[in-house]
Amino acid sequence: MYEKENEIIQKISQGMEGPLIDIYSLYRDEFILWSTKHYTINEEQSKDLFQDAIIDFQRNIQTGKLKVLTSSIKTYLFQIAKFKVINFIKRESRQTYIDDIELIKGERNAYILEEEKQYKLDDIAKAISKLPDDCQTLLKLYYYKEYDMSSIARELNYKNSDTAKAKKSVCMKKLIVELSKISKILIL
Amino acid sequence: MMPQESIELFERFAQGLLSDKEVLEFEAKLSFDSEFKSHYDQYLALENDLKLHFQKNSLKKKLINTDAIIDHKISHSLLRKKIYITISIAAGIALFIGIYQSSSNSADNISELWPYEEGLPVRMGEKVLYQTATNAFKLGEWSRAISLFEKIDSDTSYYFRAISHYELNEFTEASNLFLHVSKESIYHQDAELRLAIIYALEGKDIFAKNILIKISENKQHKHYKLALRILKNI
Repeated sequence: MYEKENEIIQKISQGMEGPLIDIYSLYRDEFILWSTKHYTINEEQSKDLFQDAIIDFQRNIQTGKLKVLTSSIKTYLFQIAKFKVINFIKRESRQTYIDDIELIKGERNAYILEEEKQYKLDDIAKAISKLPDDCQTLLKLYYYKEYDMSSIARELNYKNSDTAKAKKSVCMKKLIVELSKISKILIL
Repeated sequence: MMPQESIELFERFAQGLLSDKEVLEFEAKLSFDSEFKSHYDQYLALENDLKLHFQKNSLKKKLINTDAIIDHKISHSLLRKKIYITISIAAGIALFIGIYQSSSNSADNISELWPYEEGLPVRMGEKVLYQTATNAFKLGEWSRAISLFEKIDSDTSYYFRAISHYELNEFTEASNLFLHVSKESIYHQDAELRLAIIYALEGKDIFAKNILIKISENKQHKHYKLALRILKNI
């Protein structure tokens, strides 16, 4: 029934980001209208939360949690985004919202755990921002672009791969120090 | 706090800088030193989270750029709308003067009197099939909307299928379905008017007039004024 949508999931699982951008463009305005009407959030917050829902959607596909859809992409996304909104409001302590939420396949608890992971990622983002620029670049090249140490040395004008390795070690130590200052959950 | 020497050791292990003997020692320590093992697990988790963080950041930036493109298009189209509205008002005034001066009986194009049907709001938690069908309708995916609504047996389904057929210029199918919308349905009055419009478009003026006269005589009918207007044009 959802053949077309499962084809999209296939593409995303192969690392394509284009379909995610298209999905975002298609449903963004509808989500803004819906969320700002039903919850006490503004347009910018709604956009931000919908972006986070798209990111979760990508992650669920790439980690294999979502392989086949049993609803439309829109329904799935709106459910994630709705949770994001509710958690955001709770976090902001603006209101206590009790709602009868039924997440697809009843994954409510799992989703709350995901939200806790989100806190952790926020801490990591804060800690990384405290690092010197060269450390941020190095870690990005290593963990996101998956460059080897020789390529990193070339890219960042280091003497050789050993220098890059030593530099990475220093950057990780700095990151862990920063994280231990910030994080309440990740006790390193 | 994770000891600095442990971090150093994890890094060297990951980079393959440990000798065979050091690797053995490292693996042995993992098996008997629970604190060391716990730190190593945290270190691996951190590496994984770093990957997630950078991946998330990259997509987030692209989505923010998409926002800028969409919002630019919206503001551009709003500007164009303002220009169109200004031109339309000017054109409207000119047209009104023209009509007034010539006292012409120019007819409205009947098909332009077809009321816009927005569709029902799609609510989270409603039946998936119904929701998907309504979605397809709202997106103007007429054929898909028809095939989805076909699986639902209700007046609402007949009504929206009929409109979808109309949009595809399939007047016969559309009129048959409008005839199926029962008097109890909230869409009955809409269906009546639309059926009359289709008959008029098909040149079945007698049928169209019969319905329109009936509607125009009933001031409680939500479309009685529109019916009068269409009658003038047939």
